[in-house]
Amino acid sequence: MRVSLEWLSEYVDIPDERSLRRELFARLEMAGLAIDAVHDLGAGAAGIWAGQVRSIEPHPQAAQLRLVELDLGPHGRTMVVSGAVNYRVGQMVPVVVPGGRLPGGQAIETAKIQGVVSAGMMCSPAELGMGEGPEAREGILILAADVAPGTDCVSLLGLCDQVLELDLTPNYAVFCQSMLGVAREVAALTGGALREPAVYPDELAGPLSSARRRQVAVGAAARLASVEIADPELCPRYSGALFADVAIDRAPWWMQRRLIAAGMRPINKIVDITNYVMLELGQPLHAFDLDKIVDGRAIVRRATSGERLRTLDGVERDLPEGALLIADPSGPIALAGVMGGAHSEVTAETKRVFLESASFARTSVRRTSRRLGLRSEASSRFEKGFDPALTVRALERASELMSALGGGTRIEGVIDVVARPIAPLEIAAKVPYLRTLLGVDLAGGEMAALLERLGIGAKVVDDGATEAIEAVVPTRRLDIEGPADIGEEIARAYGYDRLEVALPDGPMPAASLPKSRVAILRGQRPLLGAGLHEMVTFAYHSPAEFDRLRLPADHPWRRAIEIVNPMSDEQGVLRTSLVPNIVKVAGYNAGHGVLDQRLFEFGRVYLPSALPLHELPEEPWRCAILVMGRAEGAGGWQRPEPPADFYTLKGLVERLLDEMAIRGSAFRPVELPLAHPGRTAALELAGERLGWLGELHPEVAEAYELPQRAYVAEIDWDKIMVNSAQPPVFAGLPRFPVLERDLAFVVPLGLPAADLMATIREAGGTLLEQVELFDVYEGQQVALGHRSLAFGLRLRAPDRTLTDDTADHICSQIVAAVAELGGHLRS
Amino acid sequence: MGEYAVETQLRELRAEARGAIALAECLAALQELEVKYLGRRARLTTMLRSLGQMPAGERPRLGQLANEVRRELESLLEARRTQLASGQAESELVGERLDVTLPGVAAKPGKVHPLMRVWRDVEETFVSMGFEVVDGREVETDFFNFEALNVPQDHPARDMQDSFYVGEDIVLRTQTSPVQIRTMRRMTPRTPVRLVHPGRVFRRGDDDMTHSPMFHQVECLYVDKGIGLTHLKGVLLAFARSFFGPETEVRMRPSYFPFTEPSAEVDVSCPWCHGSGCRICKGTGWIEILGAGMVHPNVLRYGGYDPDLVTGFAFGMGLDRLAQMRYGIDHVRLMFANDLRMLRQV
Repeated sequence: MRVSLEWLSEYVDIPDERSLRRELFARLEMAGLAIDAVHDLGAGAAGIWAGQVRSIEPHPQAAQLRLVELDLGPHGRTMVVSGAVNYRVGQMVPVVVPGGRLPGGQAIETAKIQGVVSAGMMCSPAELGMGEGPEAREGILILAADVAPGTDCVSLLGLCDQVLELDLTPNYAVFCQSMLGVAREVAALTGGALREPAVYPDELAGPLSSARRRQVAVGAAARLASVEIADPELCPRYSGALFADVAIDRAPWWMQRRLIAAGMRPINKIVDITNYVMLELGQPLHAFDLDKIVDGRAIVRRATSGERLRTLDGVERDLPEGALLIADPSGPIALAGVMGGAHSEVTAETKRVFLESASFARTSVRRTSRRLGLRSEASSRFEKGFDPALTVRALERASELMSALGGGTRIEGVIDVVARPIAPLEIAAKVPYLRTLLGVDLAGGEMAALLERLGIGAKVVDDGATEAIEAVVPTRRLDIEGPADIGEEIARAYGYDRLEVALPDGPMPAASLPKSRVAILRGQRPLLGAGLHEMVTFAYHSPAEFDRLRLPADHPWRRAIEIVNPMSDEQGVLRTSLVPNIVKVAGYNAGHGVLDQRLFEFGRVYLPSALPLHELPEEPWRCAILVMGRAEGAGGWQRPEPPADFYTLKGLVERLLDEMAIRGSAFRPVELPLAHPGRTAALELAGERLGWLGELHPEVAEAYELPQRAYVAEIDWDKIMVNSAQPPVFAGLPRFPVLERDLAFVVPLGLPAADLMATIREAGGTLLEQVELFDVYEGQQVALGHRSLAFGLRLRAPDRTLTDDTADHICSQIVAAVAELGGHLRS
Repeated sequence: MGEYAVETQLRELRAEARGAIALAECLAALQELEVKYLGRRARLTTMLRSLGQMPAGERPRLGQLANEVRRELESLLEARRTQLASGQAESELVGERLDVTLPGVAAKPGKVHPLMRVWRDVEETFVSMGFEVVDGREVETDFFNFEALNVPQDHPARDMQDSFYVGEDIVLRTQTSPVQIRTMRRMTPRTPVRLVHPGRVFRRGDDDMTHSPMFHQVECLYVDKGIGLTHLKGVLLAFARSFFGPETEVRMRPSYFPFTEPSAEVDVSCPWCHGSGCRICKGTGWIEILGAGMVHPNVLRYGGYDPDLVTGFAFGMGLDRLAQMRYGIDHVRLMFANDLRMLRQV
């Protein structure tokens, strides 16, 4: 909403001084009227005087130019060269003199035009920012005859104007989407007097208006037109006034200037007056060509199936069934509150006008406007709602302007159908409740006085038990619905900035973090320590990622929830795995020259129980890791580390499991479509899958343009949380010495190391404290198809010093067990 | 050999040995001197052995002198040996000298994402203030995301939060506020309800420098008997001072949210310029950080509480912008691009 202060000052005093204005703006903001921007229109405009045309002579060199002598009163006389022809000797025009400046910022200097000196320039409405279109550009603005020569046109025409761009919240929009509404707030805040545009002798005007259900049609108007409301739910009130002998010419420049300042385009006098009244009072008006309405009958009803209407913008539209429209007996003539029809539009040929001023239900206008994707100044006002008591008042105001500006002759009488009674809302709010709500110790009387300041009727009643405020809310404050709203009004009038600071008392409950957060904070530690950076990626991705990851059609990740109304393909589906986004990030970074990457993310995936989605999905936490290339800074200049490989990744996963106290997990070879078939493992715990880890399939790496082998793990963090064991208990320091033995076995290549180690542990029994693999050898020194694995064993008994004999015995048991797997001691 | 000659020889020997030991340059030379003066074939040894041939009256005196010389030479040798040994170790250490200006060798630790650092700080601040941090789901029903928060169908406030739909009446939540309802329903009728919930939210709409379709909020709710706007202001001030610094001031301006009444927009004095005006606060000295208000009676009812018995306040704050401001990340897209060149920096 754009508010011209020049216009606003018609209704309430606005200080001229900049600093005082800034104070006012701050005050408006502190009252909840958010100001998005302050536009300075015509800033710098100066040296523009009213000049009387004294003589007009032809230009000696150019037939299309004229020499005009102007009397600028106290500023002397000047001679200008002009191409315009719309002025006569004796008329008053705005003249910008050399050294002056137009509102657009253009400086004017003495110039020689075709050999003749031109000392200044006569201004067109367009040059003064007062109009648009060819008419505003081609002719000079003619001022009123009673303006004295030398009058400062900058102030006369309001060329220097400040326009506030208000960002109205939905509640403010109800009563501040008009100049008068804003003026009323300014008056309430500053204590200034409100100057309402003339108020008409109508029972519905005034701040506390009400209306009973009625159907009024009086005067000549009643014979020419009629209104029927078929749907009182969606149209509580519809009023109309008629005009004859309408003049479809341009509105006066001052009105055009105000419309432009408000962000609207001047069209013609009739349309401009309707827009002007809408901006002034907040009531949208619509002008129909009365002679295009069959029988003059306006019927407010819902659209039936198959109805069509060509709207003002020239588009032929299929009307949604049930949309509220205005129809005549032949069919739709307007979309109620959204846009008029082209057929009944006011044109140059229009003689008589039916001016509509109505109340439509917000939801109805909103739905129609959304379904058709059609918005207008009127529809946005109807959607937000405004005073239903304004209709006749707006008609009368328009009528006054029509008559004053020569727009047309009012046909005596008015049509006003009130289908649903309109009455101020009465709200009772307990004073103790309001005190608690605001935390301010105000007496009932003080609260009532604050409400009155905002134009809300209030009195204090006391039934002996509790004191209460009985508020009578004017119809323009549709946003006020109950006691809490009354509380807000009191707080607003009192001033949020005057509120004290208090802390709630009472016992302090135990504060805590949810389990998931505790687990994530714990899990982060080893990953961060190992040089991995945390990522936060989107919860969605394009379904195309599934193809890039080589996932077959029936792959479970493809059972993803689709976003019905994405803004782009990137929001195609909710993720079922963190992997697509983490791989995408790796591709992005590689594309920017970062080849060595260490990344992890803790995030949710969204798993539907069935598709399409009827129930809320599961949202389990996952942890994903990606390593590629070298670690940052590891080994440094001393021992450059080799690039990450499968075991780097596995080491990270093992550290994570260790941190989370997951005991007894196992890694088994597995094949996944997106991963290298020979370098991928499933992580299992007691037969349950906890996740997987492996090298990305070369085709996937290529699809994401990864320059080197990348290793990815994804772990089901919810299962980690469930299986995370208690922290270990200290078992005491060992009391007897350890015996160490090294054993190297030659085993068939196909034997997994994990099986060999499990066998060693089992055969070693309880005295075998630790088994550590320290060497893996494959090559000429062992038989083809075999490899050697060397283990360091630590043996210890809790209750005695082990003898070499016992140790040797255990070792021979181990050797025997390994032999059963096809292995033997390396000689 | 007469006794006089023996005594002279001993003294000469001592003088000679003193000089030789003092001049010995290395441990090997010292070893030779030890053999020479104290060895089995040394003169002193021979002389001691020949003491028996001396007159009996002189024997004790000469024996004492010879032993004195021996002890002195032993101790001189030992002292010189220690001296030489330490000098040698010293020179060996000199050979082991390093360039201490070479960079140290350690793997660099990874960094927590800037958003998550802000998340953590907010969380910690509220935990220290006695709030329970709760978890909340991201895919929500229309009921929990809108209806129960006093935003019925066709309410104009729905325009403020255009949502992504994933099913019939199922949306990606547009705000963290649904946890208010879920938590109240879990807690009712117990009081107080004090919750904080950081989480991610989604809105269709602008995708530009400051708007991302996915972003993060932290929700706070406090419901109890006797809670008022001044408590809201107090908790906000306590939070702001703990989070932004002890000098911070807060300011509330009336605003509108369907789920609070009265509602407020809350500004903090700019933590970067302390109110004098800078680029971050656009010269105003204040930064708008959150929306707040007293829980709307309808919301309390949906949560299972009687608005005649309890009141409460709630607020919701964007986390991404806080992180952007704190770390100077100008474009919100960078927050989720996970560009390692940024992650390593901040």
